[in-house]
Amino acid sequence: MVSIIKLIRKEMVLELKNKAALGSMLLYAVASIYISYLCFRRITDVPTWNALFWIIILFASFNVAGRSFDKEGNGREIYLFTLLSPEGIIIGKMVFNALLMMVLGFFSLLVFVLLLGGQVWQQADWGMVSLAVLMGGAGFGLILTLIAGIAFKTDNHMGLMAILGFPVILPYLLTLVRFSKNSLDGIDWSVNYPYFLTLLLLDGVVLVLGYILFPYLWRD
Amino acid sequence: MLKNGWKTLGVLLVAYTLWMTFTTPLKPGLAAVSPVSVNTGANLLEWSAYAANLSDSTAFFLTTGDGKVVSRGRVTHIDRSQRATVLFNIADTLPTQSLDAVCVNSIDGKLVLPGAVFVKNATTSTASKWTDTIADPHPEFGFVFPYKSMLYESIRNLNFHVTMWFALLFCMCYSVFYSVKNLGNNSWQSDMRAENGVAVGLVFAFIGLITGSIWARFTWGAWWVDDTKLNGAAITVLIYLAYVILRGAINEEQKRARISAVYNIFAFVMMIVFIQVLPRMTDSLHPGNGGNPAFSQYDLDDNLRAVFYPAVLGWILIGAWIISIKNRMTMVNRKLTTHEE
Repeated sequence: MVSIIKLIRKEMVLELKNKAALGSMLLYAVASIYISYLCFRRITDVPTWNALFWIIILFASFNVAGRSFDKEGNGREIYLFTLLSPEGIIIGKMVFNALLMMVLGFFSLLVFVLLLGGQVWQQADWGMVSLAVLMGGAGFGLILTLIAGIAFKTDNHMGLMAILGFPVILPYLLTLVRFSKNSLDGIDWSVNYPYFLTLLLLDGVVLVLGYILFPYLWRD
Repeated sequence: MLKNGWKTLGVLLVAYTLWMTFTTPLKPGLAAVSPVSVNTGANLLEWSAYAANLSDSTAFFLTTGDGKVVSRGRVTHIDRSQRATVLFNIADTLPTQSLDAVCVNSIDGKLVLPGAVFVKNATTSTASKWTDTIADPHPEFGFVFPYKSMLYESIRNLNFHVTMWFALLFCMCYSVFYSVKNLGNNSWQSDMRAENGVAVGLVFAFIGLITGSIWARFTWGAWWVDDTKLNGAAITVLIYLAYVILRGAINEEQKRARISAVYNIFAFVMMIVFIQVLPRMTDSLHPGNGGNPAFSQYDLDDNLRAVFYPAVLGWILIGAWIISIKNRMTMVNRKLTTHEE
């Protein structure tokens, strides 16, 4: 447990040290939102607004998660391997990526509202929308970290990342988009909570699977 | 002989399925009543039935949803036992505006088309003036498939389309079982089995998609519709195509086996959670969801079951056989190329 927290700290320090990486993530989000702004100007339709928002987050997340194993270059991988259990490493990376995606999510939400308009927010339940962004960050972070671990072992890992990731993340994305749309429509929690539980269940499943499966990826 | 008995059983079951699916006749049923929307008073309604034996001894009724007779028709003309023109006198005050069409005779029994007619200008009252009900003579039909409006003859596709997904599920489980085994023992045989399971599963998935697509065009009017079950099918195909590509991207055999096993297990579990949870929360066009004509427990009828369950088992056995042939082919190929043992 202590080692996991230390690992998360290590990831954070590495991330903050590498200003270019952090900047590229935020710039990617801003640039894609700006492109959408140029194409759409204002979006007043809730389903469109919601779908576009999540598609942008999804692509940005693929970019961020795709390089989550690149950091371990220069033999650091071997060093970590001798030092820590693979279970600790994957859980640390998953949790860190989840936190990073949550930050990315809220940042994008802000830019999105600024550029594409907040008309769709008239009926929105703020708490639930924030929860949707949190769950989105968590799910994308967890799932894509494990996928990145798999793709990293191949030669063409950015290309494979997308091919392997999309079908696996689709169930999560579909549930999330529904949850988030209901939140924007201000639908009551009593109707919306099954989606939230599904997301929570999928997150739990991914954490457990990462814990069990990652040692087999790491062993080389 | 006994060792390969399951293969014979598979072939026999599939042959039985093909024979029964294409030779069993459909039960008679009511297809439509027009016009759908009428006024009170005298109305001439055009009834069309399917595989029925309409005759002068057939009685035509309009009833409420719970079977209370509102009007009895007088037959004016019957055309080739399938079409009838019937005169109805509809009262001004009715229990409901939407009426079921019912016709009864001794050969076809009681045929019902729910919500067939809507009476526009009737006033509704709950007064229990209407009390007559219609008895079903329950004639003997022999072995027939049920008649369902919308599906008609395409109900036979159940034995091909739905069974493909069962066969696919078997191939997926086979593949995942050997992927798990491979992580444990690192043997190339387990990896080969996992790979061949996916290859055969993909074939079933494509046949399932094609049969489903044609069926959807016929009953729902589109080749592809937005539906949770279709999403599940699409995701399954994408996952296994990705699995094939992942295998192609790694050259080292041991590494390929291990990494693709990890992906296979991960994707499989996500899939199962998805197809188990999400359809329960959303409406689907598929039977049993969102008020569609369903094959659910109460109306997947016994005759259909007698063909459907053997069909499921038959296709699974055929799938297992194809996998075993592929496994043997892979082993022979390997022996030829690497001169092992």
